[in-house]
Amino acid sequence: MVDLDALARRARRAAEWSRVRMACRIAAVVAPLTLVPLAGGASLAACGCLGVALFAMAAFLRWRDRVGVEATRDGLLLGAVPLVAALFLRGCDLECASLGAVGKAELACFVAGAVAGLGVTWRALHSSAPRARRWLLTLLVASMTAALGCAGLGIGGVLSAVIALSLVASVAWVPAVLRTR
Amino acid sequence: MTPARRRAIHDAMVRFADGERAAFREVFDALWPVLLAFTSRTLTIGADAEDAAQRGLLKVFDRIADMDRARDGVAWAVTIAAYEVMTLRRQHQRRREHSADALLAVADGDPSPIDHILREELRTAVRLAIGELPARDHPVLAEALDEVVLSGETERKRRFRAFGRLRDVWRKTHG
Repeated sequence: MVDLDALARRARRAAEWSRVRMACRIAAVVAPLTLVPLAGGASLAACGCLGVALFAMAAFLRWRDRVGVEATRDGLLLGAVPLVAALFLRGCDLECASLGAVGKAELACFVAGAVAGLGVTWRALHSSAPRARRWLLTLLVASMTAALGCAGLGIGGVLSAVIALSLVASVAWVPAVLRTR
Repeated sequence: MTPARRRAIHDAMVRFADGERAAFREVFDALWPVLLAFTSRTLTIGADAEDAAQRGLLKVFDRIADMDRARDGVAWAVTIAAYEVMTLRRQHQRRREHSADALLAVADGDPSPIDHILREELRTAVRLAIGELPARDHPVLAEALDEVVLSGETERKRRFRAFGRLRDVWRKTHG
Protein backbone atom coordinates (compact mmCIF):
# COMPACT_ATOMS: atom_id res chain seq x y z
CA MET A 1 0.00 0.00 0.00
CA VAL A 2 1.41 3.38 -1.00
CA ASP A 3 1.86 6.03 1.70
CA LEU A 4 0.35 8.93 -0.24
CA ASP A 5 1.39 11.58 2.30
CA ALA A 6 5.03 10.52 2.10
CA LEU A 7 4.78 10.39 -1.69
CA ALA A 8 3.26 13.89 -1.75
CA ARG A 9 6.13 15.20 0.40
CA ARG A 10 8.69 13.67 -1.96
CA ALA A 11 6.83 15.00 -4.99
CA ARG A 12 6.72 18.51 -3.51
CA ARG A 13 10.46 18.38 -2.80
CA ALA A 14 11.14 17.13 -6.34
CA ALA A 15 9.07 19.99 -7.77
CA GLU A 16 11.00 22.58 -5.75
CA TRP A 17 14.33 21.15 -6.94
CA SER A 18 12.99 21.24 -10.47
CA ARG A 19 12.29 24.94 -10.01
CA VAL A 20 15.71 25.60 -8.49
CA ARG A 21 17.45 23.89 -11.42
CA MET A 22 15.37 25.83 -13.91
CA ALA A 23 16.09 29.11 -12.05
CA CYS A 24 19.85 28.52 -11.87
CA ARG A 25 20.10 27.93 -15.61
CA ILE A 26 20.02 31.73 -15.93
CA ALA A 27 23.71 31.60 -14.99
CA ALA A 28 24.35 30.70 -18.63
CA VAL A 29 23.12 34.20 -19.57
CA VAL A 30 24.36 36.20 -16.58
CA ALA A 31 27.93 34.84 -16.77
CA PRO A 32 28.59 36.12 -20.32
CA LEU A 33 26.89 39.44 -19.42
CA THR A 34 29.37 39.74 -16.53
CA LEU A 35 32.34 38.79 -18.67
CA VAL A 36 31.60 41.31 -21.44
CA PRO A 37 32.32 44.45 -19.34
CA LEU A 38 35.27 42.66 -17.76
CA ALA A 39 36.71 42.07 -21.22
CA GLY A 40 36.12 45.77 -21.87
CA GLY A 41 38.39 46.69 -18.97
CA ALA A 42 35.90 47.09 -16.10
CA SER A 43 37.00 46.44 -12.52
CA LEU A 44 36.85 42.79 -11.50
CA ALA A 45 35.42 43.59 -8.05
CA ALA A 46 32.61 45.80 -9.40
CA CYS A 47 31.67 43.34 -12.15
CA GLY A 48 31.89 40.37 -9.77
CA CYS A 49 29.62 42.01 -7.17
CA LEU A 50 27.07 43.19 -9.74
CA GLY A 51 27.18 39.85 -11.57
CA VAL A 52 26.57 37.85 -8.38
CA ALA A 53 23.79 40.21 -7.31
CA LEU A 54 22.16 40.02 -10.74
CA PHE A 55 22.38 36.23 -10.75
CA ALA A 56 20.91 35.98 -7.23
CA MET A 57 18.02 38.26 -8.10
CA ALA A 58 17.31 36.61 -11.46
CA ALA A 59 17.47 33.11 -10.00
CA PHE A 60 15.17 34.05 -7.11
CA LEU A 61 12.61 35.67 -9.42
CA ARG A 62 12.66 32.70 -11.80
CA TRP A 63 12.31 30.26 -8.91
CA ARG A 64 9.35 32.17 -7.49
CA ASP A 65 6.86 32.21 -10.36
CA ARG A 66 6.11 32.79 -14.04
CA VAL A 67 5.95 36.58 -13.67
CA GLY A 68 9.52 36.43 -12.38
CA VAL A 69 10.62 34.28 -15.32
CA GLU A 70 9.17 36.74 -17.82
CA ALA A 71 10.41 39.83 -15.94
CA THR A 72 13.93 38.37 -15.80
CA ARG A 73 13.91 37.58 -19.52
CA ASP A 74 12.72 41.08 -20.46
CA GLY A 75 14.91 42.80 -17.88
CA LEU A 76 18.07 41.10 -19.14
CA LEU A 77 17.20 41.86 -22.76
CA LEU A 78 16.40 45.51 -22.12
CA GLY A 79 19.33 45.98 -19.74
CA ALA A 80 21.55 44.74 -22.54
CA VAL A 81 20.82 47.97 -24.49
CA PRO A 82 22.98 50.17 -22.19
CA LEU A 83 25.44 47.27 -21.96
CA VAL A 84 25.92 47.23 -25.74
CA ALA A 85 26.10 51.04 -25.79
CA ALA A 86 28.80 50.96 -23.10
CA LEU A 87 30.73 48.34 -25.02
CA PHE A 88 30.59 50.52 -28.13
CA LEU A 89 31.78 53.57 -26.16
CA ARG A 90 34.66 51.56 -24.73
CA GLY A 91 35.52 50.50 -28.27
CA CYS A 92 35.69 54.19 -29.19
CA ASP A 93 37.99 54.81 -26.20
CA LEU A 94 35.40 56.98 -24.46
CA GLU A 95 35.21 57.02 -20.69
CA CYS A 96 33.20 58.95 -18.15
CA ALA A 97 34.38 62.33 -16.99
CA SER A 98 34.89 63.03 -13.29
CA LEU A 99 31.85 62.64 -11.06
CA GLY A 100 29.39 65.48 -11.55
CA ALA A 101 30.57 66.40 -15.04
CA VAL A 102 28.51 65.32 -18.04
CA GLY A 103 30.44 64.15 -21.08
CA LYS A 104 29.64 62.19 -24.23
CA ALA A 105 29.80 58.85 -22.41
CA GLU A 106 27.27 59.92 -19.76
CA LEU A 107 24.97 61.26 -22.43
CA ALA A 108 25.14 58.05 -24.45
CA CYS A 109 24.46 55.97 -21.32
CA PHE A 110 21.53 58.24 -20.49
CA VAL A 111 20.00 57.76 -23.96
CA ALA A 112 20.54 53.98 -23.87
CA GLY A 113 19.01 53.84 -20.38
CA ALA A 114 16.03 55.90 -21.56
CA VAL A 115 15.42 53.51 -24.46
CA ALA A 116 15.57 50.55 -22.06
CA GLY A 117 13.19 52.37 -19.67
CA LEU A 118 10.64 52.84 -22.44
CA GLY A 119 10.98 49.15 -23.29
CA VAL A 120 10.36 48.17 -19.66
CA THR A 121 7.06 50.05 -19.56
CA TRP A 122 6.01 48.87 -23.01
CA ARG A 123 6.65 45.21 -22.15
CA ALA A 124 4.82 45.49 -18.82
CA LEU A 125 1.80 47.10 -20.46
CA HIS A 126 1.57 44.29 -23.01
CA SER A 127 1.80 41.59 -20.39
CA SER A 128 -1.10 39.45 -19.20
CA ALA A 129 0.45 39.11 -15.72
CA PRO A 130 -0.23 41.66 -12.92
CA ARG A 131 1.24 44.68 -14.68
CA ALA A 132 2.51 46.74 -11.76
CA ARG A 133 4.47 43.82 -10.33
CA ARG A 134 5.76 42.84 -13.73
CA TRP A 135 6.87 46.45 -14.40
CA LEU A 136 8.69 46.74 -11.10
CA LEU A 137 10.52 43.39 -11.44
CA THR A 138 11.51 44.08 -15.06
CA LEU A 139 12.77 47.52 -14.02
CA LEU A 140 14.88 46.01 -11.22
CA VAL A 141 16.51 43.40 -13.46
CA ALA A 142 17.03 45.87 -16.32
CA SER A 143 18.60 48.45 -13.97
CA MET A 144 21.01 45.94 -12.54
CA THR A 145 21.95 44.65 -16.00
CA ALA A 146 22.46 48.22 -17.20
CA ALA A 147 24.63 48.99 -14.16
CA LEU A 148 26.71 45.91 -14.87
CA GLY A 149 27.06 46.87 -18.53
CA CYS A 150 28.15 50.44 -17.80
CA ALA A 151 30.55 49.46 -15.00
CA GLY A 152 33.46 49.65 -17.43
CA LEU A 153 32.81 53.34 -18.14
CA GLY A 154 32.88 54.48 -14.55
CA ILE A 155 30.40 55.53 -11.91
CA GLY A 156 29.07 58.38 -14.08
CA GLY A 157 27.98 55.96 -16.79
CA VAL A 158 26.36 53.60 -14.29
CA LEU A 159 24.41 56.40 -12.62
CA SER A 160 23.35 57.94 -15.96
CA ALA A 161 22.02 54.65 -17.30
CA VAL A 162 20.24 53.61 -14.11
CA ILE A 163 18.71 57.05 -13.45
CA ALA A 164 17.54 57.39 -17.08
CA LEU A 165 16.10 53.89 -17.08
CA SER A 166 14.12 54.36 -13.86
CA LEU A 167 13.06 57.91 -14.68
CA VAL A 168 11.84 57.24 -18.22
CA ALA A 169 10.15 53.97 -17.18
CA SER A 170 8.29 55.80 -14.38
CA VAL A 171 7.36 58.80 -16.50
CA ALA A 172 6.02 56.51 -19.24
CA TRP A 173 4.27 54.23 -16.75
CA VAL A 174 1.97 56.78 -15.07
CA PRO A 175 0.12 58.14 -18.16
CA ALA A 176 0.03 54.71 -19.79
CA VAL A 177 -1.66 53.20 -16.74
CA LEU A 178 -4.08 56.12 -16.40
CA ARG A 179 -5.02 55.79 -20.08
CA THR A 180 -5.64 52.03 -19.92
CA ARG A 181 -7.82 52.26 -16.78
CA MET B 1 -11.50 10.50 -18.63
CA THR B 2 -13.54 13.28 -20.20
CA PRO B 3 -11.84 16.02 -22.25
CA ALA B 4 -13.04 18.59 -19.69
CA ARG B 5 -11.40 16.69 -16.83
CA ARG B 6 -8.23 16.28 -18.86
CA ARG B 7 -8.21 20.02 -19.56
CA ALA B 8 -8.75 20.78 -15.86
CA ILE B 9 -5.77 18.62 -14.86
CA HIS B 10 -3.63 20.23 -17.57
CA ASP B 11 -4.60 23.71 -16.38
CA ALA B 12 -3.75 22.81 -12.78
CA MET B 13 -0.37 21.48 -13.93
CA VAL B 14 0.32 24.71 -15.82
CA ARG B 15 -0.66 26.81 -12.80
CA PHE B 16 1.62 24.75 -10.57
CA ALA B 17 4.48 24.93 -13.10
CA ASP B 18 3.98 28.71 -13.25
CA GLY B 19 4.61 29.00 -9.53
CA GLU B 20 1.21 28.63 -7.88
CA ARG B 21 2.29 26.34 -5.03
CA ALA B 22 -1.32 25.96 -3.82
CA ALA B 23 -2.12 23.95 -6.97
CA PHE B 24 0.19 21.12 -5.85
CA ARG B 25 -2.46 19.08 -4.04
CA GLU B 26 -4.87 19.40 -6.96
CA VAL B 27 -2.24 18.15 -9.43
CA PHE B 28 -1.09 15.37 -7.12
CA ASP B 29 -4.61 14.13 -6.35
CA ALA B 30 -5.57 14.22 -10.03
CA LEU B 31 -2.45 12.59 -11.49
CA TRP B 32 -1.96 9.75 -9.00
CA PRO B 33 -5.12 7.77 -9.94
CA VAL B 34 -4.48 8.36 -13.65
CA LEU B 35 -0.93 7.04 -13.51
CA LEU B 36 -1.85 4.15 -11.20
CA ALA B 37 -4.68 3.09 -13.52
CA PHE B 38 -2.31 3.21 -16.47
CA THR B 39 0.47 1.21 -14.82
CA SER B 40 -2.08 -1.29 -13.41
CA ARG B 41 -3.33 -1.91 -16.94
CA THR B 42 0.16 -2.53 -18.26
CA LEU B 43 1.72 -4.43 -15.34
CA THR B 44 -0.05 -7.44 -13.90
CA ILE B 45 1.62 -7.42 -10.48
CA GLY B 46 -0.01 -4.80 -8.24
CA ALA B 47 3.19 -3.89 -6.38
CA ASP B 48 5.03 -3.30 -9.65
CA ALA B 49 2.20 -1.11 -10.90
CA GLU B 50 2.33 1.02 -7.74
CA ASP B 51 6.11 1.21 -7.95
CA ALA B 52 6.03 2.37 -11.58
CA ALA B 53 3.26 4.88 -10.86
CA GLN B 54 5.23 6.32 -7.92
CA ARG B 55 8.40 6.65 -9.96
CA GLY B 56 6.45 8.19 -12.83
CA LEU B 57 4.73 10.71 -10.57
CA LEU B 58 8.02 11.74 -8.94
CA LYS B 59 9.61 12.20 -12.36
CA VAL B 60 6.67 14.33 -13.49
CA PHE B 61 7.16 16.64 -10.51
CA ASP B 62 10.92 16.54 -10.99
CA ARG B 63 10.46 18.00 -14.48
CA ILE B 64 7.41 20.15 -13.84
CA ALA B 65 9.28 23.47 -14.19
CA ASP B 66 10.30 22.51 -17.74
CA MET B 67 6.82 21.34 -18.72
CA ASP B 68 5.79 22.28 -22.25
CA ARG B 69 2.61 24.29 -21.61
CA ALA B 70 1.43 23.96 -25.21
CA ARG B 71 1.17 20.15 -24.96
CA ASP B 72 -1.29 18.05 -23.01
CA GLY B 73 0.00 17.62 -19.45
CA VAL B 74 -1.83 14.35 -18.81
CA ALA B 75 -0.42 12.74 -21.97
CA TRP B 76 3.05 13.94 -20.93
CA ALA B 77 2.64 12.41 -17.45
CA VAL B 78 1.38 9.11 -18.90
CA THR B 79 4.34 9.01 -21.32
CA ILE B 80 6.74 9.36 -18.38
CA ALA B 81 4.87 6.56 -16.56
CA ALA B 82 5.11 4.40 -19.71
CA TYR B 83 8.89 4.81 -19.67
CA GLU B 84 8.90 3.77 -16.02
CA VAL B 85 6.89 0.65 -16.92
CA MET B 86 9.42 -0.24 -19.61
CA THR B 87 12.34 0.38 -17.22
CA LEU B 88 10.75 -1.83 -14.58
CA ARG B 89 10.16 -4.59 -17.11
CA ARG B 90 13.76 -4.44 -18.28
CA GLN B 91 14.99 -4.56 -14.67
CA HIS B 92 12.86 -7.62 -13.99
CA GLN B 93 14.11 -9.26 -17.13
CA ARG B 94 17.75 -8.68 -16.12
CA ARG B 95 17.21 -9.86 -12.56
CA ARG B 96 15.35 -13.04 -13.48
CA GLU B 97 17.21 -16.23 -12.75
CA HIS B 98 16.73 -18.84 -15.44
CA SER B 99 15.97 -22.38 -14.34
CA ALA B 100 17.00 -25.40 -16.40
CA ASP B 101 13.38 -25.86 -17.51
CA ALA B 102 13.18 -22.26 -18.72
CA LEU B 103 16.44 -22.61 -20.63
CA LEU B 104 15.25 -25.88 -22.19
CA ALA B 105 12.01 -24.18 -23.19
CA VAL B 106 14.00 -21.46 -24.94
CA ALA B 107 16.07 -24.10 -26.72
CA ASP B 108 12.90 -25.87 -27.81
CA GLY B 109 11.42 -22.61 -29.09
CA ASP B 110 8.58 -22.64 -26.51
CA PRO B 111 7.14 -19.31 -25.31
CA SER B 112 9.19 -17.85 -22.44
CA PRO B 113 7.61 -16.74 -19.10
CA ILE B 114 7.86 -13.13 -20.29
CA ASP B 115 5.93 -14.11 -23.43
CA HIS B 116 3.23 -15.61 -21.20
CA ILE B 117 3.06 -12.42 -19.11
CA LEU B 118 2.92 -10.18 -22.18
CA ARG B 119 0.22 -12.36 -23.73
CA GLU B 120 -1.76 -12.25 -20.50
CA GLU B 121 -1.40 -8.45 -20.24
CA LEU B 122 -2.54 -8.06 -23.84
CA ARG B 123 -5.46 -10.38 -23.19
CA THR B 124 -6.46 -8.28 -20.13
CA ALA B 125 -6.28 -5.07 -22.19
CA VAL B 126 -8.42 -6.63 -24.93
CA ARG B 127 -10.98 -7.82 -22.38
CA LEU B 128 -11.15 -4.28 -20.93
CA ALA B 129 -11.73 -2.91 -24.45
CA ILE B 130 -14.42 -5.55 -25.08
CA GLY B 131 -16.10 -4.42 -21.86
CA GLU B 132 -16.71 -1.02 -23.47
CA LEU B 133 -18.58 -2.56 -26.44
CA PRO B 134 -22.33 -3.36 -26.57
CA ALA B 135 -23.32 -6.62 -24.82
CA ARG B 136 -24.23 -8.32 -28.11
CA ASP B 137 -20.55 -8.25 -29.17
CA HIS B 138 -19.24 -9.88 -25.99
CA PRO B 139 -19.89 -13.57 -26.74
CA VAL B 140 -18.62 -13.42 -30.31
CA LEU B 141 -15.41 -11.66 -29.26
CA ALA B 142 -14.94 -13.92 -26.25
CA GLU B 143 -15.10 -16.87 -28.63
CA ALA B 144 -12.52 -15.17 -30.84
CA LEU B 145 -10.23 -14.71 -27.85
CA ASP B 146 -10.51 -18.41 -27.07
CA GLU B 147 -9.68 -19.08 -30.73
CA VAL B 148 -12.92 -20.90 -31.50
CA VAL B 149 -13.23 -21.49 -35.27
CA LEU B 150 -16.58 -20.35 -36.69
CA SER B 151 -18.40 -22.25 -39.37
CA GLY B 152 -21.51 -20.21 -40.29
CA GLU B 153 -21.47 -17.16 -42.60
CA THR B 154 -23.69 -15.13 -40.21
CA GLU B 155 -21.36 -15.84 -37.28
CA ARG B 156 -18.35 -14.76 -39.32
CA LYS B 157 -20.07 -11.49 -40.32
CA ARG B 158 -21.04 -10.80 -36.71
CA ARG B 159 -17.47 -11.39 -35.62
CA PHE B 160 -16.17 -9.14 -38.42
CA ARG B 161 -18.45 -6.27 -37.36
CA ALA B 162 -17.62 -6.76 -33.68
CA PHE B 163 -13.91 -6.64 -34.52
CA GLY B 164 -14.45 -3.35 -36.35
CA ARG B 165 -16.02 -1.84 -33.25
CA LEU B 166 -13.29 -3.32 -31.03
CA ARG B 167 -10.64 -1.77 -33.29
CA ASP B 168 -12.27 1.67 -32.81
CA VAL B 169 -12.33 1.30 -29.02
CA TRP B 170 -8.70 0.06 -29.02
CA ARG B 171 -7.56 3.01 -31.13
CA LYS B 172 -9.35 5.41 -28.80
CA THR B 173 -7.75 3.88 -25.68
CA HIS B 174 -4.26 2.93 -26.85
CA GLY B 175 -3.79 5.14 -29.90
